[in-house]
Amino acid sequence: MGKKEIKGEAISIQHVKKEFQIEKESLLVLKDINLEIEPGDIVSIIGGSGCGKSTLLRLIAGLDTPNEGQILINGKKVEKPSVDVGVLFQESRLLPWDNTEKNIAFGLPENTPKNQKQELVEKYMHMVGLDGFGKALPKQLSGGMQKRVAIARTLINRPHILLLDEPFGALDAFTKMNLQEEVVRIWKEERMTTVLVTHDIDEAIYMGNKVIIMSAKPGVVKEIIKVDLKEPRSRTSYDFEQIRLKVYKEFFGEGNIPEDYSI
Amino acid sequence: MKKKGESYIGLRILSWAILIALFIFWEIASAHHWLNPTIMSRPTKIWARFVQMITDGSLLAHVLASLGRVFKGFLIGAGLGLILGLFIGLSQRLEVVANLFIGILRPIPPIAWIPLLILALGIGEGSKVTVIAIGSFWPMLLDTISGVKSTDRELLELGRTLEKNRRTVVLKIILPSAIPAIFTGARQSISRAWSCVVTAEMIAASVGVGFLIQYARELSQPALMFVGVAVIGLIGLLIDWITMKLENKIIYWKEQ
Repeated sequence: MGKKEIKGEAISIQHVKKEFQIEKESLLVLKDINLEIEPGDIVSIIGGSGCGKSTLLRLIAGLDTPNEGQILINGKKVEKPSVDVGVLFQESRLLPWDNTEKNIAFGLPENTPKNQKQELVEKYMHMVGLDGFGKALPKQLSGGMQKRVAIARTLINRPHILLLDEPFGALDAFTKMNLQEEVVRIWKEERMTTVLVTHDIDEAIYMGNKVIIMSAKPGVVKEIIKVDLKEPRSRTSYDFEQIRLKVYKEFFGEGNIPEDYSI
Repeated sequence: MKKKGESYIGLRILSWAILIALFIFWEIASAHHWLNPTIMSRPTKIWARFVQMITDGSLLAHVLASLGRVFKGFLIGAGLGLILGLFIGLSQRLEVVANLFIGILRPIPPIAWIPLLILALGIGEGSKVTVIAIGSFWPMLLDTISGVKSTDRELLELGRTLEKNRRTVVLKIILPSAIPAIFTGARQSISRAWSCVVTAEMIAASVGVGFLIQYARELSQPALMFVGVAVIGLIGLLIDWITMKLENKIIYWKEQ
């Protein structure tokens, strides 16, 4: 089997504007967004609710189209969703009637030969640590395991771009950290260009090489903070803390950091 | 609220006790001639008649005749309802056209068609099966349409991100999503079919449970009438029980 080489592709977001019509009013969600994401990079987009970060991700995925401006992937304009762009949604979105194997296989094109399908499903099931759960239905799996199935389904088609839309928001803290590590590990192996949208500051710093901070009403890019940390990253290191402080300052201003941070 | 694992065994026993008490009261009332024996038979007599009809096989013949009609009518009516429902549910344009016809035809009780059907098809099996088909058509049609239309938008979006073609989306996402609603439709269809068969047989038949009741009235045999009525209820209960068991098997992915 010839292994398909994954090439992370460049994402270029140019003068993107998006508004939604709500009854007769138009709501400006994104105003003139410009971003260049390098091939094979991993970046986090962070902002409060309503800043349009998820909308931006949907535009990159081709699920929505911008009112103005354009998004290029490897120089080609995004017009519709593509199998080369994998999306991991906040909800796991598993097919409840299909077991783990079938759900993961759903990520592959229909015309994939059967034996190849089987081989790939087993490989990716192993990659996300689901060995032995192939026959389990989604209702028999925990939230974290369901998420693993969704990750395997997204990765099995070897997308060149991976978009993560608040993927771990609904999970408990430990499962969350576990899966963050796992996704970073897979990214290091496969190097697909990865964009993570989140409202979790630690997640954004832990996973991203850059943290893109957005502010709301209308959604604009406020600041881009480079994350220069020694690998493997430690969430409790001094350097991590310094970046965290920088991000906090962007959100809450100088000397105005609340004791207990929460959004 | 019912807690998990609680089976309300006491209340179940109570409901049976009430039923038995009613029969006992009925029997006593009949023995004291408080009830008119030409209208109200008494439980012991009904039971005796029931046992006799089971032993001589006549009850089975009536029940099988009725069930056969229900089966045919249900297959035709619910089958058509399912197929049309899928098409209408999948195509918004077709739905706009179909809505007018559904709006006019659906409120007509199936029984209202019987005279017309007898004129058109005679008093043979055809007219009876058609009434049942009409009766079981509507619940299946409407539930299938709503089942198809209520497919989770998030799953449809997943299909888009994976570039699935229409065929795959219909077969792997929309159809399975609609199965619980289709099943609800089938349950209602079969119980509608069962009530239609009784009505159809009361109007024109020479065998069947509905005919049995009508015939007993003509012969002034209240015990026989009650046997017929009780059998209708019992078979309805049985049908419901079977479909409920099937539901858990077919919709295996549903959260308990």
